[in-house]
Amino acid sequence: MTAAHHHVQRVVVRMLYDRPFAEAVYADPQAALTADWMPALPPEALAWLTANDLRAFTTDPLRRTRALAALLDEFPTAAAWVLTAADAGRATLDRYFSSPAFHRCIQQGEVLSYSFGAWLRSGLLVGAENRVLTALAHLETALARVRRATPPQPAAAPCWRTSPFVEPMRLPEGALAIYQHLREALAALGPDPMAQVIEGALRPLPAAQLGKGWEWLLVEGQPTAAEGLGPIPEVSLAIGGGAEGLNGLLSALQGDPKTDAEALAAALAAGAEADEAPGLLNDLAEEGLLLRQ
Amino acid sequence: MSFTDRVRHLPVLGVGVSTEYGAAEATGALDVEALWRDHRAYAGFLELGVEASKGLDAQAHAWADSGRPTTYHFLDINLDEPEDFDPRWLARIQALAAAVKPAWMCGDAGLWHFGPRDRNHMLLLPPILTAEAAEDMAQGVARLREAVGLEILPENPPGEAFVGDLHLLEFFGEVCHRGDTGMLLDCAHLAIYQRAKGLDPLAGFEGFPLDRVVELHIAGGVERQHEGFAYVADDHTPAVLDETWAIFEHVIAGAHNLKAVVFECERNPLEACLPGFKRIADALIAAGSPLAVTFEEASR
Repeated sequence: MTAAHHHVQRVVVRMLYDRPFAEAVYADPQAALTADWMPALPPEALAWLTANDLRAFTTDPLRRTRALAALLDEFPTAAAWVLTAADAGRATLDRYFSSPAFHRCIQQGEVLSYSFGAWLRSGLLVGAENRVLTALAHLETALARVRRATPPQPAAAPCWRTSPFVEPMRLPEGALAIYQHLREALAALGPDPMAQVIEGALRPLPAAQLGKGWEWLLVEGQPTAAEGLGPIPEVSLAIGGGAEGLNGLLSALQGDPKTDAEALAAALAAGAEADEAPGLLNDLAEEGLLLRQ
Repeated sequence: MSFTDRVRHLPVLGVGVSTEYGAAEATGALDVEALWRDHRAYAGFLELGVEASKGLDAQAHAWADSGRPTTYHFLDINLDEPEDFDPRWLARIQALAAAVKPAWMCGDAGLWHFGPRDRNHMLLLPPILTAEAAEDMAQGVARLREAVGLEILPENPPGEAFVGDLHLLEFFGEVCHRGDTGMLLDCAHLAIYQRAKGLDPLAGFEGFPLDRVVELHIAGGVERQHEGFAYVADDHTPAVLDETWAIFEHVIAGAHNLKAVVFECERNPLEACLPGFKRIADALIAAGSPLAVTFEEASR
């Protein structure tokens, strides 16, 4: 259970990242802390939050810049798309730190990258450009998830589940090609590609034509063992082709562990014949897409 | 065994220095090997600042492999959050500790990351200064002590904004009492707190259990202005504030269980740090500190 002091600490973090929010807390803490996901704070805590000089919360003017740079490392193509399409510089993306999505993420102790990915998919652009942005952010959120995947705890009873290092996904037809085009274009821009993107290096945008159909993808991660006691290497990532039935099965077996019967039922629902379903599950386990625990 | 008994078994390390991953590679960084070779009295141990995901750098490996004393300064655990003690992190720090054989673990008892431990979530904030937070912090200290089998010394973190109804020393006195633990008192961080609160450098020491202080940190700080707001940044230069010296000299006079002092100057050339080391040594000798003996041993 999260204690009151943790809730107060999270409000402090929000104040550090968002000056207008800090100013609102100083003006009227009760009113500034009324979101439906915001737990009630003890009355004395409201006074503590405003007991410092407000400027003590803003002594680090580069806090948002650094945090945004780290997020852009994980969302390079979606960010480049926004910066090019919106033509409004980094401020467009910096607004995330004043958004309800950011505040909710911090207050509820969630992962910033997932929240940022969801915010990118929340309608920042319009029309076809927004459709591309949504697809790119979806793909890069899946990459962020696999990058953070950890092996599951041992199961209490025999079960099936999709490997946490696998994210099945469905994107509009053509999304992967746009993603790959942007990755190559960004790589060609040198060590600080976003600075050049802001200057217009990607204009005009590649034709943002997504098809009406779907393409099925698998984001897969391969953990690399640390050498000795040095830095733990990042999970190595790859995007491969999927299929409607396969992705449906992997999606059905994500999350909580499933029994043999549940796994077989999911395989049948995904289109497998009754006599092939057990073998299919075993084959997918051998390929590392499923875990048999 | 109670803290009173446990602390008797901790080694007297003397005066040492600190480092963290990659710090030694910075231009003008302190050469700890030269410090060891030419000024051994100031190189009694190396405090290794460790983020489990980054592990140990070459300097840390070299020092530890030579069998010289170390302490392990964590940079990534929110002690007051039980969910932060995940098995993978614990296994990793146990492996790291087994490799460097620290005399104890220590580290800022504050918020090292918001949300789950993640590369994009790292920061350092002081704890919320309330009795409830002190209780949770104390439980975390005991939990980590149990998990790694080493003494855990919580440290008062730096900050610009401090939130809560307890004085910083009252808070850490509570943590020590409830967690039956010693602590690492960072004199520079305390000076920053006292100035931020408009208090005398020695305010709050009435009733504070000095016998719980096992380790001290001394570091320089720089006065900065932000939109007319004056504050002190903990910049680890050799320019130690007068208030920090005043706190140091006050504490060493009564800290009978003091085992170690770190001069945090890891990104500065050795020659620039020597006057600070000498002042630390002179003060310890003048105070009759248990650490004074280490200077005699080093000069033999």
